[in-house]
Amino acid sequence: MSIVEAVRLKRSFGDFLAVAGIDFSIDSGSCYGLLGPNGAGKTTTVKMIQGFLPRSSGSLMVMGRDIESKPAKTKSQIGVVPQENNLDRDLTVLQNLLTYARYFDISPNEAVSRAEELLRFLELDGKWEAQITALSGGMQRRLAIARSLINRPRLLILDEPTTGLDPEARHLIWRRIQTLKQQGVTIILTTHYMEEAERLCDFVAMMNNGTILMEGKPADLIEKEVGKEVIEATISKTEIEKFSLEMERMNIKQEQRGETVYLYPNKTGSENVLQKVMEYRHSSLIHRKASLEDIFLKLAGRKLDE
Amino acid sequence: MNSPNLKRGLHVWRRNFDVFKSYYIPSLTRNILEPLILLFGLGLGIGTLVETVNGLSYLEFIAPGMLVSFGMITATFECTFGAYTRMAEQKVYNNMLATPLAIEDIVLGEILWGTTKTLFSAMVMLVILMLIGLFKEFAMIPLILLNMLALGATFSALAICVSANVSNYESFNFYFTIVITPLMLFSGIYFPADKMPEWFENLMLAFPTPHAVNINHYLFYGINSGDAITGAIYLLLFVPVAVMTAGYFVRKRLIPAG
Ligand SMILES: Nc1ncnc2c1ncn2[C@@H]1O[C@H](COP(=O)(O)OP(=O)(O)O)[C@@H](O)[C@H]1O
Ligand SMILES: [Mg+2]
Repeated sequence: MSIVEAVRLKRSFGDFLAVAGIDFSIDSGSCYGLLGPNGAGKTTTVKMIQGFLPRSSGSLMVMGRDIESKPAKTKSQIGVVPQENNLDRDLTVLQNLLTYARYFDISPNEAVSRAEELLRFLELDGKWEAQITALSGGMQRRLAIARSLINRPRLLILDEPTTGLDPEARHLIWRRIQTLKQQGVTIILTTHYMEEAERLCDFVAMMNNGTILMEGKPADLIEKEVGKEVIEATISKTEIEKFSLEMERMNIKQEQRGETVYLYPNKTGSENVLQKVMEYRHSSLIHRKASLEDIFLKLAGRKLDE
Repeated sequence: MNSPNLKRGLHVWRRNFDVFKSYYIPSLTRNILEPLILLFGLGLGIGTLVETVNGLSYLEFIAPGMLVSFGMITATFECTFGAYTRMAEQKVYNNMLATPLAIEDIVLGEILWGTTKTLFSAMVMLVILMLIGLFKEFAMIPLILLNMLALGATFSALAICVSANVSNYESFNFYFTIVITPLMLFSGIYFPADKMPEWFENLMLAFPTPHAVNINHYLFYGINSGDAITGAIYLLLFVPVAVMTAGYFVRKRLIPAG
């Protein structure tokens, strides 16, 4: 059953088309990733889903209802962690949660017990009375996540939840998202970290310039777009052109960025390619599993070529 | 445009009240000291130059208007600097909009809050006036507060309209200089409005402040300078229009046009 359903969804700002008529459907209980570079239209899309931005055209059903009819009712079942930090700096950590709970008409007693539980869940136990400005960036993001869960949402929107965080903070957030997934919360996650999407998302859509370029399960997309393996070789400047031609003759897909050549051999080809690289002067050679990052770079490369 | 929901508006009011609780001492101090200083200063200064105004001592004459002047300033400060900070600097409205609250609820809550602070300042001032013997019509207190409520709502809403249309704190200077200061001076608070050219006196009646002053004069002393009833009708009509206009501007500010 789908919990969000967009058909030819469009949003413009003046003459500029930020979301250019996209279709997608998000299954209840899944984690759906909106990926893409800055300016792709991810935030605009989620702001329409959360009922903040009205769409320009198309249709958008959220939990079986047009998001623009009865927004209060729909919004009561959505949790949002926005890309921008908008914690309430006039209030303490605990007050942030209790005040937010009140906006959802949650009773004070219930709010306190949920707040305690969520502060534990996000490892902010000792910080109840802290001022927001005294929290690190990672703690602020965790508090924003706690806040988004106060109404026990069916649909959780995370707009770049780990951007700018150190690895430890990021891993904690990833673990919590995993737990929420297991609890059956539907999650929409925007990110430009491909590793994050690969770990967390059941389904991803690659966005660029307001359109969805491709969509699918991460493993399927990787297999289809780049194959199973990637070889990265840094070939000496003088030989790189010759090497590239040789790869072309061997029918090996390749991308060149700076002095590094990314090669996408098919199942049987990687041994041959590795051997060939050895015949050239190279300063590094990496043979690894293909990832979403490769698709992203391929798309970014294409964009640069335009 | 949606109509606001009172319960949700009160959630916003409550948020502001909770924040206020942590700094009520400086706020209360201002509410008490400023009227005292002004009464003292004007009474000693101008009061010695002026024998009587319309049969009242100078302090008696300015007392009802000072209630209006302070109420107007209180609502204006709260809904310019305060509301602007919440809306533009701290993005508090954005966090509220991810919950069931709608823009109209937020604006209603802010206006209720600005009005509450106006009422609070009026009550403090009434107590001060009672203590120094300048106010005796206790039976009129509910009507005076009703008048201040309309005034507070009006100036809260106007200030929110301004806040939604500026991009920095400095710009509030225009509003203060061009609107608020003239309203303080020419609304019949510190000298009778009929001392001004008649066309100017009539022009001022386009604004809410002189009406609120006239109503207070009537409630304090039974003097119907200007028409208190017309004033009351004016304020009753002005409030909903100002509230809706404020909602319109905040929506325009926060939700980018398509
Ligand atoms: N309020 C706005 N006014 C004008 N343009 C906007 C506005 N919000 C976003 N945009 C533009 O829309 C495009 C998509 O933005 P956004 O959805 O924030 O992208 P992403 O989240 O993928 O980085 C960008 O080019 C951005 O500049
Ligand atoms: Mg974004």
